[in-house]
Amino acid sequence: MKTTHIALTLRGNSVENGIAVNDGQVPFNPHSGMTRHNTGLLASTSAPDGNLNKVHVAIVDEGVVLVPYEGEPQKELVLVQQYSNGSGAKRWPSFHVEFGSEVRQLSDASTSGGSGGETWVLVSAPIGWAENIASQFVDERDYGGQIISYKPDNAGEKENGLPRELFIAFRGDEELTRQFMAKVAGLPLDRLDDHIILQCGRARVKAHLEEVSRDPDFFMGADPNRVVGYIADTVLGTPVSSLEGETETAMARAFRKAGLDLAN
Amino acid sequence: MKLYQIEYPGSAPSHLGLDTEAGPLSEVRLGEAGRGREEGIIPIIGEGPDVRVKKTDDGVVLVRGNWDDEGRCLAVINAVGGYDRYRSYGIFDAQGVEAILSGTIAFGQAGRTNSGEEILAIVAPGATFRLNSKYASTWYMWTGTEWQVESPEERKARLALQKVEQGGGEWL
Repeated sequence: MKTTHIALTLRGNSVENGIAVNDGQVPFNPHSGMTRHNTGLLASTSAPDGNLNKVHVAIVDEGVVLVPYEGEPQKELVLVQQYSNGSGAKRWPSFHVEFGSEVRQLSDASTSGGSGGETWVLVSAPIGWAENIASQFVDERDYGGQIISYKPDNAGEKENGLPRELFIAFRGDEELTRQFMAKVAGLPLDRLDDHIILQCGRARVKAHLEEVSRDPDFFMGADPNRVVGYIADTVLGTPVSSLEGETETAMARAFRKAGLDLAN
Repeated sequence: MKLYQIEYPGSAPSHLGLDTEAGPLSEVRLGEAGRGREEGIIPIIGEGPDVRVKKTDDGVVLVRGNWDDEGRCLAVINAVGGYDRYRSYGIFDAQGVEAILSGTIAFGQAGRTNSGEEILAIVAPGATFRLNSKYASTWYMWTGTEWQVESPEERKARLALQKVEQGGGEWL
């Protein structure tokens, strides 16, 4: 009994049709890390160079063999490209998958050494698996690395009605997000300086809100610049974006005070 | 037999010419001289395009001549890669390789940090073996007329394809 697999490539929140083939192999071409050691064989095939879209999959002692076949797919063959970014992109989240009993891991290849690292795993999975994993991955700077597992009943729903910008600022921590929302709701309106909140930089915003709230941990680890938009929206009722282009930026003001006119 | 040399693990085997610009090759040296090391010297005598191994009570000699050796060849194989304290160097998974003489190549003044062999071997058609370099492994195969050099991944891919084409394996 041969099962037709649709071939997909999963990397972070991206799912692409097809698995690349080069020189009779599914090549391991990581974006970061080094491949100075033997990396491992992902799969071999007699298909010409290009993309494999639908295949039959055979397992032998030496590895996985992919045979092109046109038919209605019953499963997915997913090349999962897990990665940890190198030092040039270390604030971007790493992407890893926790493989459950719903998938069969067929082969893998890894980097060894260097900045960042990647492990690619070829798996046979149920239809919809790759999209489910991809929809859960948040590819936002400072969000933090994620190990994602298959949740067939919860595809893509993460925020639970919370503001997305706050949810991302608190790296997906629902409790911290709710705590912060409560803190913002309790801010004394009469003591807030809208000029600082709307137009000043990170350090002044942070100092001002910590002073006004009398809470030295007001931001609870979140970047003030990421959450100030929510504060402006909910407390002041003035979106930060509405002021852009109308007023002088903090940098322009600094230049003006220093005697420099950027307009000329 | 033709004489080939694998200079270091991972390198392609090269044909070792018996007649050089400086004159005919008079000997083959294996290994290194020194503490913790062992050097083997094999004299080459006679005339002709091919060589054959002759063992005597005192050692081994390569005798030149017009020999028909049914696809066999002689190879000087250096199995020692770059310095690594714990890397294992040797000739692994060898089939069809008959070692004639060996020398030892080592690292460090005392030759004790790590070491491995350099050998002279008779290689039969279809013979295979694997060498480790500092970071990777390389498979060698002598077909009887030429050498094939493959990474473990290339070898596995070729063997896997062969097996499936012959009807083997488990279909998902």
